[in-house]
Amino acid sequence: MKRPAAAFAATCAIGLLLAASPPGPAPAVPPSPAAADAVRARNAATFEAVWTTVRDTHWDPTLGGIDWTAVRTELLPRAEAAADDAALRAVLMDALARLKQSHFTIIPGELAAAAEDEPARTPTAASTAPRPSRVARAGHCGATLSFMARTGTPDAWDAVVTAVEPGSPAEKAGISPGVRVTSIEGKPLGERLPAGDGLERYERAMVAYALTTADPGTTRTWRIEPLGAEARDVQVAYATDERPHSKFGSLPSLPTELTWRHLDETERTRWGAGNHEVGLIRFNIWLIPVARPFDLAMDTLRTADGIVLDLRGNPGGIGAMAMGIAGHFTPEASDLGEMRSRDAVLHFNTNPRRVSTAGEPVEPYAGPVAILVDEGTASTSEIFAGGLQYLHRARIFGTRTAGAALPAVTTVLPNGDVFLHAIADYRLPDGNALEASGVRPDNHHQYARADYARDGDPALAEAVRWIAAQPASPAHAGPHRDAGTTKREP
Amino acid sequence: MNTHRRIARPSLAALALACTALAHGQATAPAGNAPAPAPAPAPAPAPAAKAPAAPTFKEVPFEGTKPSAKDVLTKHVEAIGGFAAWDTRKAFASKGGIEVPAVGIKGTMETKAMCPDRVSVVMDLPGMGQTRTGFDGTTGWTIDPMRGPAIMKPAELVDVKRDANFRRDIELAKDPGKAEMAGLFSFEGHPCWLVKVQQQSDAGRVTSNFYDKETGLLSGMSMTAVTPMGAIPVIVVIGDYKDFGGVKLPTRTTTKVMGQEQVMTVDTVAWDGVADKDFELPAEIKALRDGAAKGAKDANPAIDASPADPSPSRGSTR
Repeated sequence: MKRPAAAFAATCAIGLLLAASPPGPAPAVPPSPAAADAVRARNAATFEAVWTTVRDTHWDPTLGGIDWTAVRTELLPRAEAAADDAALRAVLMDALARLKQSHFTIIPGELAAAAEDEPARTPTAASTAPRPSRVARAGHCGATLSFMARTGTPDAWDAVVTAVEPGSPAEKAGISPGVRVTSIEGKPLGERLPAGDGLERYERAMVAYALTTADPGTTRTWRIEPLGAEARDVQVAYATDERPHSKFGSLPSLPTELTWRHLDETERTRWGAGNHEVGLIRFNIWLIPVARPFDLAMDTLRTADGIVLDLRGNPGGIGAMAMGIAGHFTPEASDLGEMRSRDAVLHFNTNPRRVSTAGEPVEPYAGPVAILVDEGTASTSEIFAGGLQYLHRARIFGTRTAGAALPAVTTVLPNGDVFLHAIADYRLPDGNALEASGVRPDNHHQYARADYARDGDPALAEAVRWIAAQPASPAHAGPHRDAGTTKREP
Repeated sequence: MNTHRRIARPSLAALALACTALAHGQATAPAGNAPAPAPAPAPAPAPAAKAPAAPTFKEVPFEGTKPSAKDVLTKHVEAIGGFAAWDTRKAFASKGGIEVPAVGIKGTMETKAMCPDRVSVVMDLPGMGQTRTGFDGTTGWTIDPMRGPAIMKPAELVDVKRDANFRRDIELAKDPGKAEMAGLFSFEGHPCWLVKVQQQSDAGRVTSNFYDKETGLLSGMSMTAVTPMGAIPVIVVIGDYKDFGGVKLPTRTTTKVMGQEQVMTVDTVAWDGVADKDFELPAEIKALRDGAAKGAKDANPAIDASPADPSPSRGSTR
């Protein structure tokens, strides 16, 4: 089965790129007073741009009660004194972290400016300091890690392999789902992780993702504990991410992939689906290159007994795409939720897809729809999954999503970096926010290591069993069926 | 000239918000990594707030006799070439650019229009692909990569029918209808007469047009645009008028929506080379229209083929 491991790559790919962005080179000689003044002025202008943008465009003029002026008073001097862009970014992120909301981050200019599949440019035109060149593509090992709460021990976590891509370096190293990883290069995992049940979930997911990536060609020693077997060390290689990359506006070049297929007989038998025809569509990000392939996949899967959409590790992308993709599953224009900025309210209305890629009239798919999610499922993915769950049009399987769902735009800063900032709140039609709370699966329970060892992919297994249990609906052209619940846990 | 009004509606590109969880602040650059505070004098006072939600126009005192709405509308037509010059224009084609700075995208835009109200717009934006919009006199439609093909709903169609008429300003000056003078306003820093315009076909919607007090040229508009996501307040700033074969057209239109901007520019204009076929409905739209017409209740054929593979069981973007 195609893995969510690399799918999860996209989850934190951007975050990793940001984190991995090397700092600017240390100057060989002290800068002249004039140069130092120029850097100081540029730093101040950059800080002010971020500070005023938040003040003027955040949907909540009170910023949740934060004394934003005090933040400026505290941090502007540090920003001015920053020795390089990395130090300046740290100050900016310090300020933005006070908001305790997703979608406020700084994208290094060299990453934002890099074209698809090309090394980042150096230096940026807007920067007075030279920037290092780097290749945007990272390496990954093909395993997906997840931090699972250790029973009975507060704020302690087990790093568990939840998926392994077939043929990947991780699989070649003997790693399989359900394995616990206790250390990498001798450093224990699961310690000093962000505690909490809000955005911290996504932060832990990012940490887990970072552990599965490294510069291509790197080999690291993982100490693993398979279920019922002795702990042992394995050598895990990190290979170049060969997936297609694409670029949207000021966002960095990102891996962009959609795969779809029918589950094979072995899978259907293993998961109790018998002769049911089950389609599986997985895509790792909401960018335009996946839109047409999704339509083509739907043309083929339209007669399936059920469709599984795998959004695990999908960090979102272009928000408006949720309306088009959801239109494949909604017979009428339906409201997925609303974004509310300072001066407008916009609804994510689905566009019922009544024409095939061949230009033939069709009806939106009316069979059962299952959506797989995890803590790396974020933003547009949450808008989509949460909206279809609210509409009773899909049943959600997996683990609770990231809770990072705010519509955002970008602004180029005076130092050449790009500021991603949210401009609107987002709510489901019932008024519930997705930010921080995320989308709760309908089958909300924590999978155990044994579940992964037994089923390989317990979330997919549950989804397939659910589809097999649904009554047949010839041609799936009738009214959509109730496939979920609007009940949300407090 | 009304081409600016046609493109004043914000394209979905302007609303292509980056709903991407890039990284939460603490995870990207932990606060603890920030360098220690350097001794420095207290920062300068915070910059004054700009209020993006506030209107960019404000009434200014005026003593004297205000011109009538018809006078202002007529002066505008004269400023852009006059009635005689415009009466000979039956078709219009332009090429230019479109930019959405907030998303960081910039592409091309091509428009064709024909009297009385047919229009076709094609936008190509890197990273977003091609978006097409049209009105053939009956059916308004869009095909964009984000939402797929769609026929406009009646509420959207009102705007499209109005904006598709590239000679609307000429007709408006001849028959102002319910147009009324609302006073002198400062719009984008320039004194402008505000004329509130509402024609019978506008379904009760009022557009606030700002005409430069000195030149008579239309400087901008304030309106509520109806999009597939709902109604949005929009400010349109129009400028950089240039002569194209004896009439003047604005070559830069900035649409301000939700604190963001969409900038459209015009590079070339032609008054011929437009044919009926330019406004024919695309196959997808015909299918939607025909499917809707017959209910499409039983039209759910098994489409087992994609263009690349007649009977695939799997696929990918690779």
